[in-house]
Amino acid sequence: MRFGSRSYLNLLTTVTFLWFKLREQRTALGLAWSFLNPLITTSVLFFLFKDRMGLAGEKSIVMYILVGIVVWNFFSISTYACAPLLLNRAALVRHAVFPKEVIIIAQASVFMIQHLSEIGIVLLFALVSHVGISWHLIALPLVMLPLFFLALGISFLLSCLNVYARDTEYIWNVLMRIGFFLVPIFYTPGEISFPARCVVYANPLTYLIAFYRDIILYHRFPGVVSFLLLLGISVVTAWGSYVVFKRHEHTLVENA
Amino acid sequence: MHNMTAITVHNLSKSFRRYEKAESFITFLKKHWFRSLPFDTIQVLDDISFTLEPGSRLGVVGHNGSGKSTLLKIIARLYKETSGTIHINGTVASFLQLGIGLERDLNVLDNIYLFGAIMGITRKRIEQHIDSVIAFAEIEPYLYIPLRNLSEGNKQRLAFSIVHFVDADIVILDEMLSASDIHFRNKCYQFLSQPFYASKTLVLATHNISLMERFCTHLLLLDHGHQKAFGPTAEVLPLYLKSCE
Repeated sequence: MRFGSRSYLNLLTTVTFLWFKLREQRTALGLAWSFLNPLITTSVLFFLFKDRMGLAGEKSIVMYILVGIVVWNFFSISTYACAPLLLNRAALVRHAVFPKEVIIIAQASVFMIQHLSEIGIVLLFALVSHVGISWHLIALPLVMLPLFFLALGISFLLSCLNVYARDTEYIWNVLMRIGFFLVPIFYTPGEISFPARCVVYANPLTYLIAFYRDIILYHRFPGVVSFLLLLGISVVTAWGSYVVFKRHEHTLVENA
Repeated sequence: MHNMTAITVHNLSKSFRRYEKAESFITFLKKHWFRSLPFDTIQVLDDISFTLEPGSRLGVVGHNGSGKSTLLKIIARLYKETSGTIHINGTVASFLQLGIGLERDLNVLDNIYLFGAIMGITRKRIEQHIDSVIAFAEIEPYLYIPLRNLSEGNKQRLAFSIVHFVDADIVILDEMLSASDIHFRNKCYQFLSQPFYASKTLVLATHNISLMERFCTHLLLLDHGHQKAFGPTAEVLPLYLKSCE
């Protein structure tokens, strides 16, 4: 069946909604469960690093760590879940004629919905703590765009690669564990020594987390130039990966 | 000539590469960068040629592993042919495995929308036809229970009922209705005989002889990927039956 724009959109929204519903049904605590993880990690990191790593001077150490964790979690969980997706859904990929990129976009969207609910809880925390909230929150949806596109782009590449090299998902899992220490979640970048600081500043997630903190924690807008630059990088990553994915679609179907 | 036909297949071949080791990152690098990993080439289809006119009903027959499903997947444009050409006039809807994409933990109604969406059918179209689909599949009492509680036969009923929504020029069906009872099978045969469906080109892979006799205008007999015969059902069916002896 040829997919027009209407049936494409219908497929994307239906799959996203029903997979989200499925995910909620399969866990006893539903959305609350997904928020327990960042909360527990934040508590541990707070007690370990509250007066170290340059955090002592922060307005709210808990909020500083929590925002970092929530952004990092979206990126790591969505890319890790998308990596084996074409193999996990091999029957669907091999036997149904539909644009295969939809399952990657839908899976990333499911995690984006979860991310939105986590951000809601973060804002609730901000509201009841001394941090408060401000009108700068109107910029938050804009900041989510480069995060989503970046995760989507990496997911396209990983899911593609995982069909040919089936240990990609395990390698990515290890890289994500290392990556956790290479983004300023529980430290400020200024506290890191010179060579490691270069790695931290070369990571787009460092800037994305900083954008989130600007808006939620410091009540200011991120720099326009750096935001546009990051948006550009993330869109190019997503588009480039999409092109690679589509170019290999037939081979992916045959090998899934 | 292609404009007059629904499907034209000319000297079509398909082969797959089978590598000796499982696909790890190391084998991937060897395969694509150093090209040093040994592999076997498996010829699944070899030099297939036939032409189908609009409204024809082709039964693709042959023993297991003869290449029926691969041919259907090439016609559905899921697989790409290794050599030869294929021309298709019109839209194609394929049901290569009934029930793919269904989620066992979602309820039956949600699964109708999910499977419909995967088949390219909009929510609006599903809503227009949903009552007749539920009545056809006889699944009204089960609409709000999880799919996992349905029998295999009922799942197949649900999946086949989605064919109702499809409005394509060419419909591909692979090994359908194996788990359904005779009552539902007859119902499906009646459905496929309706004037609305009679105008469509049907391609189906099957082992069911009565289905071939009742529905197929043409048969394509495959044997280990080779085309043994193609022609009117009355001519090819005796050859298939003989090959089964």
